[in-house]
Amino acid sequence: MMAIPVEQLLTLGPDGMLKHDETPNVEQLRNAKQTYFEDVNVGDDLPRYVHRLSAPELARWCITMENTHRLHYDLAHAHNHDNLPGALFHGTWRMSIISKWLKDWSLPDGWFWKASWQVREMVTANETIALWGKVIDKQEYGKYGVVHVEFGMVNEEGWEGAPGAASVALPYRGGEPVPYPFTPPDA
Amino acid sequence: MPRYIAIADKPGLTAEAFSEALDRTGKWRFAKRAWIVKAYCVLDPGKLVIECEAQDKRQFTEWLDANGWSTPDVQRVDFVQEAGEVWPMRS
Repeated sequence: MMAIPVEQLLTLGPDGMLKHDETPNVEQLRNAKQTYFEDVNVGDDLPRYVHRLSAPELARWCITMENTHRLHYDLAHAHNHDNLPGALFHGTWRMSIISKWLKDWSLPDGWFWKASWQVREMVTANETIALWGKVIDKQEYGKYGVVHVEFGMVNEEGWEGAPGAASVALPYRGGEPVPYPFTPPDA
Repeated sequence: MPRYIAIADKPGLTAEAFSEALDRTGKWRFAKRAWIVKAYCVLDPGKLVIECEAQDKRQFTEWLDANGWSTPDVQRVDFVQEAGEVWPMRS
């Protein structure tokens, strides 16, 4: 299924955006159908993950990361001490979501090799965010191919919060799984 | 950033109009460095109390005007008490 273009997604409003969330559940991940190198073309969109992060979920991430900075969960402190619009979505959580998304896309026999991105914009509890990604290049190597992706994470207003780029190793159709432990092609 | 408070009398104010003015991020965070912190609505007799943080008071008054909530009563806040703590507002 082709993901809805992000420009179109942003016209739907926060509730409409959530209807296009393609985040797989655990069972779907367990039975993931492999995306092969040959399946991917330059210009393709990656699956669309759409989330709305509640204040309790931000607090849960604080607990998970043992990050007790009050700007993530104490609204009065965020407003009155830090002069912020609300309790803020964590940069580390953005990292986690992006890594999961690229890992999910390469399962079961591919490998999310590397990525880099910036954390921009303040995202507060109850905002809706969407991951977007587009294939910009692909290269063949001996035992696997590498797909290069540019991506980002926009909120419901289209404010870009995590512009970045990634490389994902995918197996060839009929070939072997990407070797584990993974060895980069230029190593 | 400075905090401002606006007090406006708006007879005929409706729940729909209040919600519509603030129902998504781009409306309550109306500029990169300007946002509504909290807004109170009293339907009868029609009163609004709105807190805003903005670099410039004019950003807030323009937002009020755009929503039909113009008021001469826009003041800069010096202190806020919330949840048992008194917070000095930054300039």
